[in-house]
Amino acid sequence: MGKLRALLASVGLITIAASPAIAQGLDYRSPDAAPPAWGQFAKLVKYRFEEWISADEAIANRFRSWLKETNGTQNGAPASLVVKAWLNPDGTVERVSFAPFKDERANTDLRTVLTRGNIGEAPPPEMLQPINLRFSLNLSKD
Amino acid sequence: MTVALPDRLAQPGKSGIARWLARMVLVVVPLAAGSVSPARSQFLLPARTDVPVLAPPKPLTRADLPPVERGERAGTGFFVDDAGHVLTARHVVQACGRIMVQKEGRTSAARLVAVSTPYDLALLKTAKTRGLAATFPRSIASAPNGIVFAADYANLPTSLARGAMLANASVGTTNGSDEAGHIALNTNITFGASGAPVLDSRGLVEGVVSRKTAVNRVLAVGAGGAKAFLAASNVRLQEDDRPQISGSASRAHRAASISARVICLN
Repeated sequence: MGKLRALLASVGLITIAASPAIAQGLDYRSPDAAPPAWGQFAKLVKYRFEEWISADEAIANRFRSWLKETNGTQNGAPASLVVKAWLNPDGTVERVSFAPFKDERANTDLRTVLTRGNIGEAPPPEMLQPINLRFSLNLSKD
Repeated sequence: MTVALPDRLAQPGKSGIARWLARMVLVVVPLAAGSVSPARSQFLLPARTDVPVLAPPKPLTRADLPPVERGERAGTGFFVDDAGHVLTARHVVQACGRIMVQKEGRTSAARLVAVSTPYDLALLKTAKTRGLAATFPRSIASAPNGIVFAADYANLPTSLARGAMLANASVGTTNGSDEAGHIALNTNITFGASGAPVLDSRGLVEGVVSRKTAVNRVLAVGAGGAKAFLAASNVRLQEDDRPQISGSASRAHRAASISARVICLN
């Protein structure tokens, strides 16, 4: 991946928040309290997001280049990024939400990358959404 | 045996055709019925009384062409932790010049870490876990007639294209001490499935496909033996008795999430 190695060193499930329609009063379910099936699915979502962001293709490459160029600057990405993801029953990503970067193209690129594929499994039907994932972006320069 | 005839045919004094048909039925039906009587069926059975010699169990390794021509053989494996360890069948990776693990279009080199002596198991190490790591049951629950899923990685896309799949095999009974520590599967899974995980309804690994012993009968190393082997190899495996997938979830999709193709290059 050239000199840039954008490694999503740790992407952890922090909470599984509730959608109003099915939560009915529950704000979120912590990973420890959630059924294992939910945790396994969230782990798979995490893996797919990692793969898609580190893929060798134009938009992912451009997003990683932006991360590298702006790393440590005021206009760069924060050290920690929480992404909320809503999944369709067929395993596709319906939408994602995150605190916007100052660069609109980077916002669009990340949104495009994270919503372009299929997770590979259907979310458990009773699983509360959105899934909240915390990304720690570690950039190492070769 | 009584044979009921249609009223019109059984009545006397009807036309010649009706009487002829009535005779036909009376003649034909007893003969057909007689063929199922024990005395007659003996003639349809082979006279041989000795037990047929069974072919030795066939490993389920995919090798469409002879290895010398193709230079490789392939089976299935699955990730057992988050450190890139892959469990597969020992016979898949024996005497390999190089071992590769292939998943979702990516191929990576693998190193043989350990082989089991009592069981047809081998442990590989790759650079990273791709997809999910499998979870084993804490308490072994596979019982005869339980339904499970097992498939070779190369055929999983076909299964997935058909939609959700809950099971393609049932647990049978094992025979004798030779099969101790194994589970028998009634399934038509075929070459390339060696090393595949046997998933139960909870998405837990109940066994590892080893070899075919008869038509539609496959032996898999039981979860107990697999867990002991992994523990002896210092693998921190995941164990749980709670469901890892929802009740209606496709086992085939979970198998695809944890499995990979293992290729042995000569």
